[in-house]
Amino acid sequence: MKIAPIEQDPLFLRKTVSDLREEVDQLTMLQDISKQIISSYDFDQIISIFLDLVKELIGYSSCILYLYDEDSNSYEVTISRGISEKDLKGYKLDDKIINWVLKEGRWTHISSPKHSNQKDDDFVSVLPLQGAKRDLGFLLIFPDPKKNAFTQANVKRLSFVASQTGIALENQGLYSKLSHSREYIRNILESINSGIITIDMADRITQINKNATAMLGLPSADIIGFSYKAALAEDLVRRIDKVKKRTLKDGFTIETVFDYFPAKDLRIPLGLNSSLLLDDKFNRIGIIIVFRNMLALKELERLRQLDEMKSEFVSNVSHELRSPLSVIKSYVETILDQVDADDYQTQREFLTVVNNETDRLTALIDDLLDISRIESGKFEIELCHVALSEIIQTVSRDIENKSNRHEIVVDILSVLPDLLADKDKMIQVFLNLIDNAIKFSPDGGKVFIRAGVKGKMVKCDISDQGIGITGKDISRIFEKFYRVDNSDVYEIPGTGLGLSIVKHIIESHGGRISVKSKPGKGSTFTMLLPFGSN
Amino acid sequence: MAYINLENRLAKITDLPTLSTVASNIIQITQSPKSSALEVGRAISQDPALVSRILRIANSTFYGFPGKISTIPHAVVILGFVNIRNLVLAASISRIFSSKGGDAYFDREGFWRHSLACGVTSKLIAKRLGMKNPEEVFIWGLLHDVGKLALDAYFKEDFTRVVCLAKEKRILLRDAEQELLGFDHAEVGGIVADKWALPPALIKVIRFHHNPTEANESMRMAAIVHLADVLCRAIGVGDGVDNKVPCIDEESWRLFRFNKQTIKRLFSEMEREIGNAKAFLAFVK
Repeated sequence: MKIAPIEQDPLFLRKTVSDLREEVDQLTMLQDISKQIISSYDFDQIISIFLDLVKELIGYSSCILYLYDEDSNSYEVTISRGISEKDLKGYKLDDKIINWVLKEGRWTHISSPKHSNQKDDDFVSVLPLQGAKRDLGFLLIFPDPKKNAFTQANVKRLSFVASQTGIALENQGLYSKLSHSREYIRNILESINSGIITIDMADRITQINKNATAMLGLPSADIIGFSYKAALAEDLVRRIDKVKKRTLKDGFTIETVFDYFPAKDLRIPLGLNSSLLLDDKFNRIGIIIVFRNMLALKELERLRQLDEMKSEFVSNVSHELRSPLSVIKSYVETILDQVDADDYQTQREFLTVVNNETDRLTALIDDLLDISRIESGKFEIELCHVALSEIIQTVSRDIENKSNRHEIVVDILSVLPDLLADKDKMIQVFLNLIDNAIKFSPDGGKVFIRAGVKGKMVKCDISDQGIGITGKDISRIFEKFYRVDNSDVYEIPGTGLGLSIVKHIIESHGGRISVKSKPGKGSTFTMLLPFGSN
Repeated sequence: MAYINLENRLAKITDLPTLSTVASNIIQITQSPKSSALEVGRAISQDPALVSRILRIANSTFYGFPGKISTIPHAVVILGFVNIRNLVLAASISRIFSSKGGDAYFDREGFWRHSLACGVTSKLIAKRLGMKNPEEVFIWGLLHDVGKLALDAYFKEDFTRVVCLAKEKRILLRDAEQELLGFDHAEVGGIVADKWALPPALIKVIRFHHNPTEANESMRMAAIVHLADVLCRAIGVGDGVDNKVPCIDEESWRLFRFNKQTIKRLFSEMEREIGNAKAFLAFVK
């Protein structure tokens, strides 16, 4: 058979050259259009431009896009055009052939997947979508039977469009992964209990979480990108300046606490620490500053101490209940077993001790009942006109018998107005205070009771020359259960309830109580009580 | 000087063969962008022997298509234009030289084994470089030494002396060629390829596969085959003449930015793919 060579055919050559020129023009245009694909980070847009371009180039009747799904480890239908849901389900792809096409990586016509509505010798084509390192999926194309689409030029164009789309999809995947992880880190930042600000080496704020905005009383978190020197309050800027200097030198700063005033009358104790931020090549890229609101921390500390005081209270109360009881028990036993029946003198002596201890117990139990009433809000006072002098005289007479090493000096203004008060409760207050004055003057001394008028109040001081109270304790001695810890020097019994009850009684009378003291010199408790109205 | 000398000598060989008309036509057709699978199929169908050869290789493990390819148009749409053109070219060229040359001095089978390994390796390198048409590169590797076939067939005496010299002095064949003839097989190949109007890229690769830097803008193409040539020799698939491993051209090497790890991986891919390519050896022999 004679085969005609076509290389000398001038018509063929002319056509080839013109086709090639057209091809170059088309590819140039395609390159411009595909920029839309490459520059998009929107998945739907990428796919839509891609399918439009394929349609424009080869004019399919329908197509199905399969993309790799990590969860199912297979290619899943992502989108289809020109095909009904029902028909879509009917297609069974030959995995072996699909894998072969993906491995070859070029647009390939294959026998149509078997479908009831189609003839056996129909062709479909598979256009692989590949990223830089992996297969992303493929487009199954049902070509327009009227068109002769499988030409060299179309192979090239489709391969170009597919590779651009592959890159775009991969970029889009990376981009969405990136924004997910940014969102994730953002969530972590927002969930942290502390305020966090990061700044870069040019002092610009690069991150700030809501807690920081709240703690620092900033109007909004919209200060990212601004210099912290411009965005934050002056005193804070000075602090951060210092912290920055240290951090750049040492790599971190340990927490310092300072008072911050986000608004005029608002004071927040803030803890601040910082560390250096480095990139993966250990270049310094900025500083992270962490703020902690110490208010919450302080409240926690108070509750912890309260808890501690309560356990101590239980142990104190048990001790206070137990010691008079053991005294009573041993004296009564002695009277019963060892004291002669006619030795009235000794019996009387011992019974006096039993009597005193019983009083101590009663007082203690009264205190406990009082506290429990105060706690439950059932503590009531019955007011009547009382002369303060009367109360003081009763109390000091009562006390004087108790100690012979202490002298009680009373100095009361002769024309003192009456109080409107609960007499028994007032006696309780004075008994308690004077008893304390004696108790905390273990070496004896004078106890002064002075009373006078200050404005519309009766002012009454009770001073001793005892051991005094240190500054650390003085602010807390009126707290319930609080006991000054001086057990290493003096063994002074108590439950830590007395002064708390005293304060409550005085305040429920509309009065105030305060204390001044010098350790080793003595203490002065000052009460202010309102006059009884006429 | 030597080049003109060579051209004159080649021109004097009156029976320097031409490519088969089918092959020339296929080269022409596949250079036209609007050519379709149908046209290519029609051109090949004019040579029934070629049709059956192509269908046999198309259905072999070399391509590994998981289905039956029963017609040439079918083969074109499945294997693609480039693969089909490669097959036509390889068949035509191997047929030209099957009757001439080949003896104890020049081992034809060794030649094709090395050429095929270079084709496969070039394709692997192209894939690694992310090139979209690795099939195009396959033919570069496969035909890069076509000059040796021409020398063996038409300068038999000279070529036998060259081969003996290379073997005796244990030097590279091309150095022996330069020493005795003043030109080498790459130059001969270049001229033959030009005469056959092979695709322009292929001509450049054949001509410059020893010294890619001289290929100017086509340096990368020549460099791929150059590297493949060296790698094949490194794993012991030499051309059966010198079996020496030449130095890799430094500039070409820098072009690829390959590291040791890449080469290691390439070696293991080569072992596998060259094994798979045995079917192709039967096709060109």
